[in-house]
Formats: sequence, C-alpha cells, structure tokens
Amino acid sequence: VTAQPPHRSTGHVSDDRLLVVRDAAGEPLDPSERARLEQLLASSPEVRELRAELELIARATADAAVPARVRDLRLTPADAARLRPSRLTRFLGRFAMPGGGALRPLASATLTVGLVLAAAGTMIPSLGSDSGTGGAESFRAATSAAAADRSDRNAAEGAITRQGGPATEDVRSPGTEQGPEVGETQVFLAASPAPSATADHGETLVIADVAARSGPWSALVVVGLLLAVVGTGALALSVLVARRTGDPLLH
Amino acid sequence: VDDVALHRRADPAAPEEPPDRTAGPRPTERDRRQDELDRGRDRALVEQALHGDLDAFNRLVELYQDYLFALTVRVLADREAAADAVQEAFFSAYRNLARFRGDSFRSWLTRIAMNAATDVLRIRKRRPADPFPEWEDEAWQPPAGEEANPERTTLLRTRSRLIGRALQGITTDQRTAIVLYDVEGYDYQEIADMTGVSLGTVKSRIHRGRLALRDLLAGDLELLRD
Repeated sequence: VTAQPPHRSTGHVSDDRLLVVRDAAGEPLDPSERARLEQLLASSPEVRELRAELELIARATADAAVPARVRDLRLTPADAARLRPSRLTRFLGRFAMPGGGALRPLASATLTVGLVLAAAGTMIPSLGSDSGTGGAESFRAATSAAAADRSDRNAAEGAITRQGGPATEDVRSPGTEQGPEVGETQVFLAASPAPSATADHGETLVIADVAARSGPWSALVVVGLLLAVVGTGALALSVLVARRTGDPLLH
Repeated sequence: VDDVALHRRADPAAPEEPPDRTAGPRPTERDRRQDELDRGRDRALVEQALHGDLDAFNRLVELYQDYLFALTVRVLADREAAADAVQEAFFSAYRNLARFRGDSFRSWLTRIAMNAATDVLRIRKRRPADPFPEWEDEAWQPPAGEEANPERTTLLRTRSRLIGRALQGITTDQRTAIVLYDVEGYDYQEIADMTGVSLGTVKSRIHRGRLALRDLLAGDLELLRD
C-alpha cells in the first residue's frame, strides 16, 4: 500500500489495498487476512487514511439527496388495457414459463442430433467401405474374384469370337466402356441402396452384400431427417414465443 | 421546482434507519421481519393484480415508485429519463406479472428498472454534460425540518452534487453496483442476481468503483466530513 500514492488507484489493485477496500465494505475477512490488515493499520498512516476515506465516501453516497420523482407513475385503465397480453400471447407465454424455457435448447439439440444422424446414415457406409476394415477387405476380395472371373470369361468369349462364334453381349451398362474401379463401385453402391441388375455373378453378390449392409443406414437417415424436421418446427415455435412474449427488460 | 424534495430512504416500506453498512452486509432481525411482511403483502397484491385488479397493481406502484426513481436517477442523473425508465419498468412488470416467480417483488422490480436504465444509457450513448442540473438551480429548496438551516441546506446540496458528479465519473456497472450496495443495502449475491453477473464481478465492481470514487473526490473529502 505504501508503494502507491494515497489518491491514485491503478488498474491493478494490490492485495493490501484490496484488503482495506474489502474491510471498508464490511466483508468478512479470515483470521490471516484480519491479522494482516491489523498489521497494516498499525504500521501505515496511509492505510488508515484509505480506510477512513472509503467509509466516509460510502456514508456520503448513502446519504446523498436525490430529487423527487417528476410525475406519478401509476397505470391508467388505458395503460392496463394496452398492456394486457392477448390470448395468443398468454398461450405462447406458457412455453416461456420455467420449464417451457427449455424449448429452444431442446429444439436446437433435436435439430442437431437429427442432422448428425442423417449425415452419419449417408456417409458412414461409404466411409466404412473405404477404410481398412474387414468388411472392406472382403469387399475388395470379392470384387477382385469377380473381376478375375469376368476376365477369364472374356478371354474365353474372345477365343470363341475369334473362332467365328456368336458375340457375347456385354453385361455392363450402356455407355460404360470400362468397368468401374473398385473405389468407384463402392461409392456407387453406397449412393444407391437398390442393387443394380447385372448378369455378372460375382458383382451381383458384392452389390447385394453392400445393399444389405446399407439398410440400417437408410433407416438412420430417415430417423435423422424426421428429428431435424421436428427440431426445426420446435425452434420456429420458440422464436415465435420469444417474439410474442419476450421482454428485453426481463433478461 | 416545488416538487423536488430530499429522499434519503425513498422506499416507504424500508426501515427508517439504514443498516450499518460499514459493520458488514448483515441485515438485522428487525430488517428480516419487515422484509418478510413486505414480501407477503407484495405477493397478495400481485395475486389480486393477476385477477385484473388494477388498483392492486397501482398500490405496488405507489409503494415502489419513489424507491425505483431514487435508484434510477442516481444511475442516469436525469430526472425525466429516470421517470421514463421507471415507467417502462412498471409497464414491463404489469405485462409480465404472470411470470413473476421470485420471492421478492421488490428485487424483481429493481432488476427490471436497472435493465430499463441501462437501455436508456445505451440509447443515449453519452453522458450528460451537466448531471443533476436541477441541483444547480437556486430555486431548489429542501423540505422544512432539520435541513431548514440555510448553512446545513447548502452543505447537503454541495455534498449531494459532489457525490452525484463523482458517481457519473465511474463506469455504469460500477455505479449501479455501488448504488445497489451502499445506498439500497442489497448484498453481493442479490446484486449478482439482479445484474446477471458473477459474485466476483460484483465485488470487483464495488471495490474498483470505491477506489475510483476516492480518486474523484480526493480534493473535496473535507466537505463530506461532519
């Protein structure tokens, strides 16, 4: 305290000064703080002066006169009629009551969970196939086997064609000159739950397998979207409640 | 300006002598009993007002308008603005009476009035150049009584003007906290609840505000001594 001039306070309040201010404000001090304060009061005239001035200012502030109010503030019947809430506002006010006040956070949470579920239901199947999981490995193995099988058959068909036999119809969809790479197949399958009809035995197995695995994810997407719709509706209701019943002076 | 009078304790329901704030923020047993009685009376009036009794609500206005005006005029330093803020507070209270769930109607009203005063300051966005101009008015006269002594009257007016000016020199948050604590006698927790800040923030505002007031009043402290 002695390091600071008596009438200068800085942004930082030293512990000793704070102790004096707290004591002058009537705050209880613990025994060690009390002992420290007594020591300061005994040793420093500036500390004694500080405490006396703080108490003087507090008393003067409490006793300071204020002018009387300038007008009567009672409500007139016209004021009351204007301020009385409408039926809709009273109804919406129920949602603004304690307990109803949880509407907005609940709506936000529902909307968030819904969106997360929908996103997860859309993205996880493809992510799962892309990752190095056992499912993905078996998927790749099955795809490789199917490709090898198709290569063998193409070679045999080529031999037959070269020998003048009937040409075999290409089982791939029109416009697809090259079979999709493994990764492309995965994305395609993930995006379309219904398995494509194909004459290729190996690919059919793979598509059916992935489609079966995408069933629960589709349900997840539906549930997520439903939650998102419910959350959005509840959020809209909460905004309406806030607009109709909210009062900035009550925050 | 014949409607101006001294108001040291504007709340008619409050005890005549304020509690000794320097002895610690602890209300006496008498304060507590009176407080309970006031709360019961207020709850009954609120119930009647909720059933459409405007007179019951206006009884609450009569009980608290002087107290709220004294509070807001210290914060705003403008009588008209203070009256407007208190009027808005009563409008808001009437509109939202069904939402009153607290134990103390007085505290609830105080919080609303403080918010209204803060809104006024936010709109104004500047401090008045001459706080409490009516105190400069020579026509200002305190009520008859002890203050009828001209010297005493002059001294009280000077002190009040000094304190008013100094209060305008600290931040709004500090001023609000100090007025609620030193003048109205609320404790730290009640002020924290009213102003929506933490207990530590309230303490800090009061401590720093008091030190700032001391700096601002440094040259005039002798005038504050009896």
